[in-house]
Amino acid sequence: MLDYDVFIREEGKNNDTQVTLLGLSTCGFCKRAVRWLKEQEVSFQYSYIDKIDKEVKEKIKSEIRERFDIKLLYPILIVEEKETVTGFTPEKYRKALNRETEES
Amino acid sequence: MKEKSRDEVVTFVQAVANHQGWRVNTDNEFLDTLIDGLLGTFNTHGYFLCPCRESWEEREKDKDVICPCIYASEDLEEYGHCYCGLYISKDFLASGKEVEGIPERRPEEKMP
Repeated sequence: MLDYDVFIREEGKNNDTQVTLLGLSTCGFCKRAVRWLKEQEVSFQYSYIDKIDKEVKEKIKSEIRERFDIKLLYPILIVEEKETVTGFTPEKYRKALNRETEES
Repeated sequence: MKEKSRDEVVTFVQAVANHQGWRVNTDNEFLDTLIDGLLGTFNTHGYFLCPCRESWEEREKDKDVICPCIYASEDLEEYGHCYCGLYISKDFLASGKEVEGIPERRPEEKMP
């Protein structure tokens, strides 16, 4: 799933979970989500969909719509290709990444 | 289309806030992203598209989310800030709270 070369890879010591983030480069919450994942030292890949080829963007959106029953609200966090979180709050991200007990 | 400068975007945002009786987010790093975002959307599409919403790349289809979006007043009333966190209410500013993601009022059928 989402096997495209438009993703930027960030490596962190917490690399036991496959994490993908889709955002808009213009969005404050999307930038905040990227920063939070880096601060938590999570390995993840991300892409700002307003900065990529339109055809690839539509393919990515189609894949997400086929796989998940969600509104495409950014940022979209995809965990293990099973769980999604739309919008960013540290609480929701901690829960999705099973990091409830760690500091934000 | 004449491109906007960053200063013009700042002036626009402040004018909207003053006109509506709102405040502009005081988190400078967050605000910078949104100002740059609005600058980018204007100079790409020709209008101030909400920086946290995807564009149809057609003004008519995007018109409900041209800044200030038609959902902002209700969001400020209910959550203290608009969807993208650019505008905040006076009470929200006084609370010292940080903006966070809020539910989207835009109907799904209007999204690209």
